[in-house]
Amino acid sequence: MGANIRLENVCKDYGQTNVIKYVKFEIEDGDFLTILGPSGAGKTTLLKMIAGFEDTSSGSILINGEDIARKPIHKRNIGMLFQNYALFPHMTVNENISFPLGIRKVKKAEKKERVAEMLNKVKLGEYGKRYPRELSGGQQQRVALARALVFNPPVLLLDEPMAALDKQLRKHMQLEIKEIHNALGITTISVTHDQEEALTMATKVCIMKDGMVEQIASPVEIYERPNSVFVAKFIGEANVVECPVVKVEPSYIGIKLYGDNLVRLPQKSKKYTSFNSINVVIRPEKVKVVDDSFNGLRLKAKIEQAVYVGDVLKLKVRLECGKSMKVKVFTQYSLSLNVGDSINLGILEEDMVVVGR
Amino acid sequence: MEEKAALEGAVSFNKAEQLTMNYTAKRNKRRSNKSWMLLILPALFLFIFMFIPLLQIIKLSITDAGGSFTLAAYLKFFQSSIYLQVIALTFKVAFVVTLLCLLLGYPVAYAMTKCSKRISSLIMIAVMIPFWTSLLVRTYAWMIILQSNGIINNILMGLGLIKEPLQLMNNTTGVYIGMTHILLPYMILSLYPVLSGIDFNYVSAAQNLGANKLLAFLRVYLPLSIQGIAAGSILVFVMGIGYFVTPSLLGGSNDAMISQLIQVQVSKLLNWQFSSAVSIILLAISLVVLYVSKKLMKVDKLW
Amino acid sequence: MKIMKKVAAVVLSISMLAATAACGKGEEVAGDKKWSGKSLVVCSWGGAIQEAQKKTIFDAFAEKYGCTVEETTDPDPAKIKSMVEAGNMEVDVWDVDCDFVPRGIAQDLFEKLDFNVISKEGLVEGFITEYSVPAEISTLCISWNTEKISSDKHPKTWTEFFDSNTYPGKRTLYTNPMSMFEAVLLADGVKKEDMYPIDVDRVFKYLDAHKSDIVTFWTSGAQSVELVAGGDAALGTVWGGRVIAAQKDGQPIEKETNEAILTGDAWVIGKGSKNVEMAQDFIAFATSPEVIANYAVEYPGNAPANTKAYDLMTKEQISALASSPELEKTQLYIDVDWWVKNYDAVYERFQKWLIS
Repeated sequence: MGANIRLENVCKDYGQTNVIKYVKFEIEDGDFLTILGPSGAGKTTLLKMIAGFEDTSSGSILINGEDIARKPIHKRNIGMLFQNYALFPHMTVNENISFPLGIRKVKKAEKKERVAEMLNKVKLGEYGKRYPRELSGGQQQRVALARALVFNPPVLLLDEPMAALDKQLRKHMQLEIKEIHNALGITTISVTHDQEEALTMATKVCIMKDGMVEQIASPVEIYERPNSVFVAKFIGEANVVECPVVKVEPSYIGIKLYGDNLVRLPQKSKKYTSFNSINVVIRPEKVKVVDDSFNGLRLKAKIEQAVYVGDVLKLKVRLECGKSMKVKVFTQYSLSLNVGDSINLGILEEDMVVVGR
Repeated sequence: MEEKAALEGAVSFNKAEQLTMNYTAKRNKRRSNKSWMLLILPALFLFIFMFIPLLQIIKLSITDAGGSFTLAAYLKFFQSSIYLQVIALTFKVAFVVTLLCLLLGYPVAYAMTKCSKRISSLIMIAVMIPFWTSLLVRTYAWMIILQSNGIINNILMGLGLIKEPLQLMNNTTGVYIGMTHILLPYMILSLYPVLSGIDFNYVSAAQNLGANKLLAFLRVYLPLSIQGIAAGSILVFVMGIGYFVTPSLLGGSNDAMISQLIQVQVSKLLNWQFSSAVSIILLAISLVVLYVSKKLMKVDKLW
Repeated sequence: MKIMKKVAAVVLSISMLAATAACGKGEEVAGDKKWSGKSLVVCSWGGAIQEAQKKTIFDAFAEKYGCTVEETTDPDPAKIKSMVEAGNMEVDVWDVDCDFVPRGIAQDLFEKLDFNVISKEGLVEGFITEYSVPAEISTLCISWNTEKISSDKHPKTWTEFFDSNTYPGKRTLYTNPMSMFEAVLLADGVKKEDMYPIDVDRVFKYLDAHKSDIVTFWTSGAQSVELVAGGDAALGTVWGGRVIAAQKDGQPIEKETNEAILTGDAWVIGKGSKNVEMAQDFIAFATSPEVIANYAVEYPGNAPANTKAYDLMTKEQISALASSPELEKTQLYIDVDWWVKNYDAVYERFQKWLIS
């Protein structure tokens, strides 16, 4: 059912201010793209432009090859889940869901059937005659979803879908939406500021900042191989350390990490020949408590802070070179680590990620 | 030992807490019960100056000169068809005026919800200013504008668009123009609060689901504004029924509304019994109209 | 010091008041001064009429009797009735429509007049009752817009008034059937002597034939002038006095006194008045030939209620009047009695006709 969506150099200006700057990406039929970013990044604006609620100042939005940037809202045939669901209060659940079918002049019998089918899919089969105000938040969301999908649109847009739900419900709905997405194969774009949600639900994550795309890749790629300090810091926790470059070879570069530790990192597609220093990103959970048998970079450190969070122990340590580092240790190792202790840490070279800026 | 004491302490604390809560709840309940007392004074005012005179009028309508009970006044009303005809005419005029106010007022109220706060405040002031002008002054102003050699006719004749002056006054047209102008603010002020409460997301959602602007308005926005339409229409209609200054000044002699007829009975013919009966009948009909409209439009909150 | 100043000021003002009072007393001249110190409340029609009354009647009375006359306007029959029912007659003397008099008598709203005090001599008979005497004779005249119809060629009779071939344009008539019906029948060729009892069917037949020519029936004097002078109606029936007042204002309106319909208003004493004796004196004064003559000169739009006034007026003054013994010959007096008996039924039928 899905669609290929491609944005080419999409820009939006409010007067003199450039709000969206040359956004460009492509997602495939059946992808679940989550647009993530700090407030003001322009993610909701971008979503609105795809839906048609905002005009594009320039650029094209192509759905299955067709540029919809100039199409009026009601002709775009895109399913959308609004942040506050926007269920018509004067209509019953059935009437809400059959609304888009009625507009498309679907026959009465078929309409009834499809509405019932959709309601069952979202597990609200008995609620057809109720009014939106009689439903809970989670139920309303499911009705809104049913309404957005009943007319088989190729694209589904979600505007901060979990924002109005409590934590328990959030987890549950994340799974449900994912299930529906998989079942229907519909191309979905979701906007959120919740990273965990992004990583859980998406097949592709797009990080936006100041109206531009920082990086768009699979969740694993985004997390393991961030292409900028911003992305690294935005998703999960990161140790970002600036390291001077001492040697540049065709297949590797030599850097000094945390003091005088010489490390060789494979140089893949990036050329750092002209760089004096580069940033290295190390995820806290990649730093392990090791003994002398460890075959990687070994660092001695002193624990400055220890926070127990149930399944992990979050440490802030001070290294010999003077820099501090964040470390995450799984508590199953039943180590008694206290503030003031000295520990030996180890990092594998493959866990050090080079980022440009 | 310690635990037991702690437990007991906890229990007694809970008890104390509960007692406090009970007391607070009761006190709040009493407090909220007392708030109805604020209504005593206005209720008294209404009772003395509205209900008692109303009862007196009812009494007047069923008493003859000797003081005994009679329904002669009511019989006379139903026997002379003229009065029913005039009431029907009055209702027709009030209905048309209500419709005109709705057609003119809805866009204005809608525009107010869409404009910036500053502009909508300006529009609000423009709507309210006529309230500060006396009804008589406004009606006379219309006479100056609508006369045969009034402003409108002079302009149209001057531009050569018409040869003979248009009859805009001393007929039903004049009544419609004058009454609509005077009653329009009531419609706008009833519509605006309701319209401003309608979330535009609903319209956006409707459009997203495939409805063009017109359909989105008809199927989503309009139904959500029904409370405002009902409130405004009922208000304008009931007020319109009682109008007699504007119709008598701007209308022709065949546009007499029921209030004008009542006025002649009161002032000229001194048939106070009869005029009371007609007034009560008018009041009864208005109440019926109100009740029926309420049921039809499912108006929960009138204001 | 401050208190002293205040006391001094008070003493000074009191002595000044006393002095003026004494002066006032000293200024009294010969005259009845019967009601000195008292106040009489009179209610009349306001506007130009009341101004003329004030000049020639109220002030003169106040001076002669050393009292004050308080004026108020709008002699609404409903007002009078409510005052009587409330037992609080705030107005002593009312100037009311002649057709209200019989109704008011039937509902016992007036005090009986003392004809030992008030002289009937010369007063127009048709308007005298036990409770009322005529205050003035009002004229409803053929009137036209001078910009549409020239004064050289203008309608002189009611028949001509309705002639839409000779005089194209709209007409406006008084909405009160009393006086309007008479004009219609005169137009239809009924002779003065045969006017009463009024052939109501004949009236409606004529009105039916001319309905399209009538723009509207006016309800107030001001409206009648507006309609004619404003041009909405080329012709209309207008109170003579109103035409004169409008002409003074420079409005394009003129009247013809021929065939004018004569009606009147009357002085009555409100029942329950606290100054009945004083009121009787006032009415006697107001209807005396001298006073009536003065008033007629001041307000020539109406005719004197007391025919003896003509003896006191010059030929010129008389010719300025809208009615006089000479002009009366073609003019028609309303028969109040017929109207009192038939008004209700006629009014209803007329209302029906209006909306048909």
